[in-house]
Formats: sequence, structure tokens, C-alpha cells
Amino acid sequence: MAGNKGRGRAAYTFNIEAVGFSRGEKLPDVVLKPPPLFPDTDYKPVPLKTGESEDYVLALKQELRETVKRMPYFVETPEEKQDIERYSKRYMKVYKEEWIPDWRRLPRELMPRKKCIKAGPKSKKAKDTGKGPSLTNPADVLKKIEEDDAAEQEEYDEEEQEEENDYINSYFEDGDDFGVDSDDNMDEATY
Amino acid sequence: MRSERGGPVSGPGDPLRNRNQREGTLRLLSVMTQAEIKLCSLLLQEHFGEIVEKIGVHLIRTGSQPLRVIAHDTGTSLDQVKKALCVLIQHNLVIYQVHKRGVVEYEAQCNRVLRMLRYPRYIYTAKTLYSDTGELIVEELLLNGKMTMSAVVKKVADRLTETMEDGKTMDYAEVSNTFVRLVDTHFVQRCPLVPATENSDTGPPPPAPTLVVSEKDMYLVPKLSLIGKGKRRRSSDEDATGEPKAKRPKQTTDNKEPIPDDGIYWQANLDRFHQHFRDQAIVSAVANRMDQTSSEIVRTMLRMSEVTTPSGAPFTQPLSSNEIFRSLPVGYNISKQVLDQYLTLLADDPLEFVGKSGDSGGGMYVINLHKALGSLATATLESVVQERFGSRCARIFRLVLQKKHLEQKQVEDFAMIPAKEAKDMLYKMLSENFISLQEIPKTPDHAPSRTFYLYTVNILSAARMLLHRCYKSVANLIERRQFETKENKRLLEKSQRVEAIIASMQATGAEEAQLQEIEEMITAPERQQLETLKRNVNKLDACEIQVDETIFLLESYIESTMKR
Repeated sequence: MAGNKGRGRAAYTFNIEAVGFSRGEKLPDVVLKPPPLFPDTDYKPVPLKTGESEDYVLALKQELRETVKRMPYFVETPEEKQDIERYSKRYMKVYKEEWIPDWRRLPRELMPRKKCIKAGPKSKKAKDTGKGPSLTNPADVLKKIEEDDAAEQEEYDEEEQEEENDYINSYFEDGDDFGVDSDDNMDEATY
Repeated sequence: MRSERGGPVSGPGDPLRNRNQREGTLRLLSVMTQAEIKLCSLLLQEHFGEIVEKIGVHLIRTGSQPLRVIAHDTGTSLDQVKKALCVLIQHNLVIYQVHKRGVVEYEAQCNRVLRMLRYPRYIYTAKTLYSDTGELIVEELLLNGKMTMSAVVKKVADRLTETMEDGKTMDYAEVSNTFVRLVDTHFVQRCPLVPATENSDTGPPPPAPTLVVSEKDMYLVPKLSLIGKGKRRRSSDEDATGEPKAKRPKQTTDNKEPIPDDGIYWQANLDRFHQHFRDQAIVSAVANRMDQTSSEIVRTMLRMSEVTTPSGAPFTQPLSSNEIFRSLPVGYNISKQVLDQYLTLLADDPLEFVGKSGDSGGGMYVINLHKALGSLATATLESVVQERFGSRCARIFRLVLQKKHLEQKQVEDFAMIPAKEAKDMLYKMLSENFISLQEIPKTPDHAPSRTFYLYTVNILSAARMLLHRCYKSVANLIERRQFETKENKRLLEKSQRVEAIIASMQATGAEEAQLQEIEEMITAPERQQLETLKRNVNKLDACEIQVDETIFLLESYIESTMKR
């Protein structure tokens, strides 16, 4: 869009009225900071719905919130040490039922690793590979084997520890119906 | 809130193209906003704890990833990632896919995570339709993700027995019947199956099973004869406080009975619940706008279309006036002529909830589902404008909606609001994206002086904007609730300890005076504080529930629009 601006004069090329304000009118101040975090509202919100069904759904929601914390699907983070050992903690401990997934429906890689005998094929392999690079230094080879074992051990320790913490004893004695619907397929490796 | 895109555009030889081809279908990429991700994070954390939340949110952010990458990127141990994935998959929040070279990748089902907000509503709906038994069945299915029918029946029978008088028990047969009814009406459906493998000795087993969805078996209940009654928890198992004994021997596995429906899992069918909510909303809107009889007629039509209309259809299958007449609820005494009059009225109504599609059979009528959802979404927008900006602003909003496109001057004239005020209101709504400006150039050079600037309401984008705000609102509500609880943590814990002590004292037969003394450990101002906390938490919880109702309406409308 060409067109000369009038020399020395500010002339708008369109009808300024159309934008919504006239020439020379005081415009609102430029905003120099973000809007307030809790702005005043001119209009207060409408009150919440109340009634029997609303009350029931509310109670249901709050109950569910407590229930899910006790389910085996709620994976606890390792707890920080309590500063004072509380007497009543004994009475408030919740024992979680164990949950074993149906491994037939899941990728095999998700199954927790089985414990292998440490002195066995793995350490042999370590010995063999250790031989290559530092044949001359038996101390080095031993160190490498130790490291490998330690790493394995670490992983296994973690696993053991995990089993003790996560798979806590059953909440109540189920009698002869326990284990009916849990799939104890952990020993099966094949599909 | 889904942004539908096909796979990225690619040419021959493009590695992405090969990937798409291998997967066989166009991938619908779901992009989540920060607000949605934040809400998902809060929901996952409340339901499953921080570890599962970390993994879940990571997958939502990054898309599909294999196990080791997840562990590496989140800095979490492999074992914990495995456990988290097992939980997420069990609850239908994550799926897995086997890719080239046997690599398994995990993908979060973003929108499904948001559904956790709605669990109380699903459970309550089941209660209204199938009473306590139905309520518990749906609750167990939602709490556990998926279960076999035999497991559900047993668990629910046990739970119901607990609530019954001494000596009475709940029979498995009754629970089974309710389960079957839930399946017949599609509220509960089968999960995909692990296909029966032929014993192939050749080759290693696949890294993961490929689950198969069988459309025709989706609602097929296996022939089970579940015989038994619910069991109460035996009181000898509990010590004085009612809590279980500290040490429980690990159960031996030699009394394992074969599960009759092993491998056949069921889940709640959330789409069916959504259909029910949608129908409820439409019936209620008709009742508000017209009268009880009209809403009953619409309810009947919707009921007749329940299983014949696919979800997402813009309108129901045509129903003849004769059919509708025959299907009216027993005891509803209106004559055929009156019914026809009502149908005509409904079809003529400008909201167009009901449409006439033909003249045979006394007149063929449909429910315009998509239009109805659009009207509900629009009404929601109008309501929000009114409550946030006032009724004069709402008048302008409705005006622009009605006239579709209006110039500034026209708005002032039609709304009969002074120019300065009208401008102010329009700009306010514009800045919050309830209204948008459309440019219509009069000349090819798009000169501003020769361009129409028209105000218009784009319902779809306004609905999206409002939905986004709703997600933010719910996240804020949850955070505030958690803050309130945390602020009063010390007091809450003290209150719980006092209750535990009182309970144990009561069980060992303490005197009233002693109990009184313990109760007084909580001072009057502290009681007041607890009361206030309870009131606030209740309010925040109730808010969450009601915002979710709005979320549902907006999501339904957006989904219905995107499907066309």
C-alpha cells in the first residue's frame, strides 16, 4: 500500500473512528507488569449444587481417595525416617494385599529378574573377558570379576529388598480361597 | 482435547513413511497441553503414588518409548519402572507395542488418565441403574483396572455381606445376575484376549503377546456356575483394635483351585457411561426448555437407540412415531395424536434436538445428537460469559452468536448498549477468546480502511479454550486441597492418633471418664480448625466434581465435531 505520508504531519490512512476511539482521546495506560495472581472479581461465582446425590458422590470420591492408597497398585516411595517413633503407628499400619500381574498379558521384559547363582556361567565369562586386556595383571582381573559380581549383587540386593518392602503380607487370612484369582505364573518363563 | 493429525507427511524412502507403513494405520497423535499434563500428574500421584506418576507423566510428555530409555531418562531403577508399567498397563493407562527387532515400546493413553477424575460419577451411575450390587461391581473394576468375572463376583459378594445383618450373606448368583445385566447393557465389556498359542517349538516366544480384540465376543459372558456366598472377615483374625495381627503367615499354594474363567478379563466400558451422561444431559435440557412430557418422549427415543446407534454418530437411527408410541413407558397415558403433536413441536424447535427425517410410519424422527451437544456447549459458554462478565456482556455474546457476524457499530445498535461500554465488553471477551475478529477485505490489498472487521463466535475454538481453562481449574482445585491438608498435617495426624487410642481403649473396656480425658487432648480451637478444614476440603472436592461435568460436555461436543 503506497501513499505519501503528508510531509511533517501525522495523517492516518484510514478512518480512525473505525478502530473505536477518536484522535487525541486519552487511552488507557500501557500495562507494564503481568496481571495480579489473585485478581479481584467483579462477579462472585454461583454457589455449588447441593443435594442428596451430590453428597453421595462427594463421599464416594473421598472414600475412593483413601481406598486407592491401600491398594497394591499404589507404589510407595521408600519412606524417610520418622523423627519420633509413634506408639499409635503400630495400630495404624495398613497391610497391603499382594498383587501379581497376569504375566501372560504382559511383555516378558517386565517380569522381575530371577535370582541366578552368582558363581556360575556369569563369573566364568567375566574371567574370560578379563583375560584379554590385562593378561599380565591377575589383580586387575580379580578386581574386574569382583566389580561384576558387586554390580550383579547390587541389582539382586535391590530386588531382594524390593520384595521385602513391596510384597507385604496379606491383610487378612483368606482361608482356602486365597490364590484362586492371583496368577502365580512367576516361574513360567514361556508363553 | 485431541488434536487430530495423521502421521507426518513423507515421501518414498522416508524412514517415517516406512514406520507408518509397518504400523499399518495412520497414527493419531494426541498433543497434550501443559494444563492437561499437570492434571494427569496430580491424578496419577493421588491414585498410584509418585513413582508411577513419574513414569506416567514421562510417557505422556515423550510419547512411545522402550523400557530402558524410560529408566534412563527418568533416572529410575529398572525394577521400579517395570512395576510402574505393570500398574499402568493393568489400569489401561498405558499400552505396549512390539516394534522391529523385538523392541517393545510403551505409550500412555493420555485422555484415559483424565478419566480418573470421573470415577465417582461412573460408580454412582451404576448405583442408580443397578443399585448397590452394580455400584460395587463397577467400583471393583475401576479400582483394579480389569478382573475376571469370578473374581468380581466373589469380591463384591464379600463386600456386600459385610454390610448385611449378622447371619445373612450375599449369594453369588445374585451378584452374577447383576454382572450379566451390566454386560448386556454394555456398561461392562471384555478386555482384549491373549490369543491361544499353538505350541510351536520352533523359534523363541515373542517378547510380548499381541492382544486381540474380538468385536463379536465383546459382550459374551462365559458359562460359569458360580456357586457360593459372600464371606465376612472372621473376627478371630483381628486383634482388639480391629486391626489385623502383625504377622501373617505367607499363604501356601497347595490349595489353589482352578479358575473357571481364567484369562477372560472384564473392564468398565467408559464410552457407554459417556453415552448415558450425554442422554441425561439432553433429556434434562429438553425438560428445562419444554416440559416433562417432551423430555420423556426424548428419553424414550434415546433408550430405543441405545444399542443401535454407534457412539459418535451425529444422529440416531430414524424411529417411526408408531414405534415410539409403542415404546413409551408403561403408565404414560398420552394418546397417539398428542404424541404426534409433541413430536412436531420438538422437530420445529429452533434448537433442533429432534429432527424429522421422513413421513412413513406416522413420521420418522431422529435425535440430532451432534446439534444437541453443540447447543449444550453453547449454553455453557453463554453461562460462563454471564457469570464472569455480567448479563449485558452475555447479551452481546448471544447477539453475536445469533447473528453470526457483526460489525462494531451493529453490536452497539442491536444490543442497545452505549458505544463505549459495548467496545469495552467486546474487547474483554475478545482478549479472553470467547469472541474472535474476522477480517473481510473489500479490496484485494487488504487495506485496513477498506476492510470489514466482524465480531464472531467460533464455538469450537471457544469451547477448546474453555475446556483448557477447566483443566487448569481442576488442577488448581486439587493443589489447593492438597495444600490445605498439608498445612493441617500435624493436627490431622494428632486427631488420627487420638482416635486410634480411643478405639483401642474402648475395645479394652475403658471407662467413660478415661475416654473423655483422651478426647480432651484435642482442644476446642483445634476442633474448630478441623471443622474448617473439613468444610474447605468438601467444598474443593465438590468443585472438582462439578467442573468435571462441564469438562464432559465440552469434550463430548469437541469429539463429536472432530468426528465429522
